Amino acid sequence: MGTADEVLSRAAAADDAAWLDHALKGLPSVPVPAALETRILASFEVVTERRKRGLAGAVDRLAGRLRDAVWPGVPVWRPAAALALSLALGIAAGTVFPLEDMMADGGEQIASIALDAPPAFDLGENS
Amino acid sequence: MIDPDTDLVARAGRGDRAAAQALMARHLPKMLTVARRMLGDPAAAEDAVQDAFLKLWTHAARWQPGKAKFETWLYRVTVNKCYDRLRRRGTARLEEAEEVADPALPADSVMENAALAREIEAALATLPERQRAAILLCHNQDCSNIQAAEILQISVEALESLLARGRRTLRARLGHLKDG
Repeated sequence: MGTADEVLSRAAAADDAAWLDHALKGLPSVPVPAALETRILASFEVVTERRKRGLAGAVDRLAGRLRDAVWPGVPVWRPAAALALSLALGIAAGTVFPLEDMMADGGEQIASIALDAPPAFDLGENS
Repeated sequence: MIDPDTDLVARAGRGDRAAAQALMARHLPKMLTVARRMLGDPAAAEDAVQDAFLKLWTHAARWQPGKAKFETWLYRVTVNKCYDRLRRRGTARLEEAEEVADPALPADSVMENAALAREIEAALATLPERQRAAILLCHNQDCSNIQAAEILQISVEALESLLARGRRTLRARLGHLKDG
């Protein structure tokens, strides 16, 4: 509980606040110029474009690091072409000579050695 | 509390122009009003708001919902852009602003309202920048004391102190309007 002066001062402050609220809300609204909207949207386009270029740049840098690790000092297309060629050869070989066919023609070899048989090779111990 | 802007900010961060446009439509008028009344100069206010939106576009992709309400953050950026300009400009503007008020304008009601608005804006312009921001956010932009304190990055007690001092100054300058 404050003194009478404090109560009066608080009431005056509340009255000021209410009046100020009314006065400031009554101020005319500030119109938004169309040119400002256009400028702000243009800045959005610029930032978006820069971000995209930033992503593309990051991909380029990664490709460059990979190329240097595989085949340093050459343009990216060469290791890429070598990889593509080796992939193509591998796929062609796999198509022409499928693994199932090679396994199916009875070509497996089973090695069996009798554990009590004498060694089939001579390291010159008896000579 | 769900922030109604979270989805729009995320989409704008992914380059969605429609989302950027929606954010702009929702917030640009409020930000421009604050900047215009903080700076008292339409061109400077537009530049400040454009800078604030540029910062928004740059940060949208990294926006983390839940940290702060988006609108609070955008008000903060706008107010800080205004502070930067006010500091660069110095005090020269205050003197000009005081000259704007002209009580001897025609008595036509539209002109009277315009004169009244100019007088209030001129009185606002004489306030120190932090008091002006506090008064504008709370009495013109309908921000709660808590939100205004967050925007200005001060405690609620410090905000109330700024408001009290600002109101006192405005009462001294505009008392004749209130009593009349």
